[in-house]
Amino acid sequence: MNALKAELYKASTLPAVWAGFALTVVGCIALEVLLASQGDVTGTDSLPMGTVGAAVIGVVAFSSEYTANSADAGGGRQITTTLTTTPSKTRVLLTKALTIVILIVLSAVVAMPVAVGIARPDVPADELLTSCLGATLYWVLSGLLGFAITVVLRNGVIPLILLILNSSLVSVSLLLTKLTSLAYWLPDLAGRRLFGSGVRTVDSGLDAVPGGLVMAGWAVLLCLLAGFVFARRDA
Amino acid sequence: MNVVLAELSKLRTLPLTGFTVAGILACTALLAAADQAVDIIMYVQAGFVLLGIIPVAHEHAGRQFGTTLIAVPARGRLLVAKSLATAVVMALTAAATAVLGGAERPVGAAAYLVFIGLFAYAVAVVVRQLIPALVGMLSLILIVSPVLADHGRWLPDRAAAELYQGSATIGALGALAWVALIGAVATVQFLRRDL
Repeated sequence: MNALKAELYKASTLPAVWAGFALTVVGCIALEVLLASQGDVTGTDSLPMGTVGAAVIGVVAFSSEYTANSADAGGGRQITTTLTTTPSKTRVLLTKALTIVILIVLSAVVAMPVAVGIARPDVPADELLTSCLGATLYWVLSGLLGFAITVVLRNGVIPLILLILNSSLVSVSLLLTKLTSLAYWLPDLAGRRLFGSGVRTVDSGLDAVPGGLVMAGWAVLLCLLAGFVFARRDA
Repeated sequence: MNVVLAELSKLRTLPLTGFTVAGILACTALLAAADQAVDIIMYVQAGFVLLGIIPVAHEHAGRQFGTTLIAVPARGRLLVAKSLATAVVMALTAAATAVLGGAERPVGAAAYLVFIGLFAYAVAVVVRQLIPALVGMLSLILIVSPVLADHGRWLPDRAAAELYQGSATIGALGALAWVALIGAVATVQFLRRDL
C-alpha cells in the first residue's frame, strides 16, 4: 500500500504524466467539438484520440526511472532509489502498473463525460456506457503495453514511436493486414472494436469481446515478459 | 567550417543517429519491396522527426551543451553550424529514401522529408528535451493533421506535403513560411536562454 502511494506520488510529480493526461482530455474534447460542428456525432467517436495520452502515461511512468539526473547532481537514476526503498522487484512492477491503470482510468473519467455531453448523441445510454468502458479498457491496455515495452527496453523512445504511429491512420499494423490477415491479431488492431459501433474502424478483424481478450492477452504476456526481464537483470 | 565539421563529427559518433538512419532505410526498402500502394513517405517521416530531434536533445541530456558553448562561445555561429550539419545528414538520408522508395516525385518527396526533419529540429531547440519534442511532433503530423482533414491544410506537414503531392511552389512557400516562423522562435530562444 505504501509502495503504491509512493508510486502515485512520483507519477503525479512528473510533468510528462500531466502532459499525457492533458493530451487525452483536451484531445478528446477538442476533437469532439470539431466533429460536432460538422454533423452527427456519437459522443464516443473522438475517443481513439485518447490512446496517445494513455501511451504517454504508460511509457513515461517507467522511462522516467531510467533518466539520468543532471551530472551536477550526481548523475544518478531514480530506479536505484526505487529499488533500495522497495527491494521486491515484483512489487515495484505491480505498483507501477497499478499506478498507470489508476491514472488512465482517471483521465477517462474526466474526458468521457465531457465528450459525450458535448455530443448529446441519439444513442441509448447502455450502448454509450459499453463504448465508454470499452474505450477505457483499450486505453488502459495500450498504456500497459507501452509500460511493458519500456521496462524491457529501459528507454521510452521506441515504445512511444510505435504506439503513436499505430494509433494513427498510417498504422504499421494496418499496413501488415494487407500482407496477412494474422495482423488482425496484433494488440492494437485486435482491440479496435472495443471503441464500439460509434467509431469508424477496420472492416474485418476480431469482434469486441474476443478482440479485447486477445489484446488483454498481449498486455499480460508482455507484462510477464517485462517482469521476467526486470527480475533477472541488474537495475 | 570547423564548427560544422565538429557538429558533423558529433552526429556521426552518436549511435542513435546511425540506428535511426539505418531504420529509415530498412523501413523504406521493406515497404518498397512489399509493393503495396502505400505512401512510404507517410511512414518514414517518423524517422526524420527523430533524426531532427537527436542533435539537439543529446546536447541537453547531460553536460555536453556546456562543453559545446565553451568550445564555440558565439551562439549564432553555433546554431548555424548545427543546423547545417543536421541539414546535411537529413538531405543525404532523404535523398536515399526517395530513391530507394521509388517516389513518384523524388525531389519533392526528399524536400518534404528534409522539411519535416528540420521542423522537428527547430521544435527541439525550443523545448530541448527528447520526449516532449517527439510526442508533440508525432502527434501533430500523425494524429492531429489527418484528423483535422480539410481544416488542417495549413498545418506544417500538410502545407509542405504539396511539395510532392500537389503544387511544388505552394508547398515550398508553405514550408519556408513554417521554417521561418519556428526557426525565428528557436533562434531567439537559443541566443537568449541560459544553459
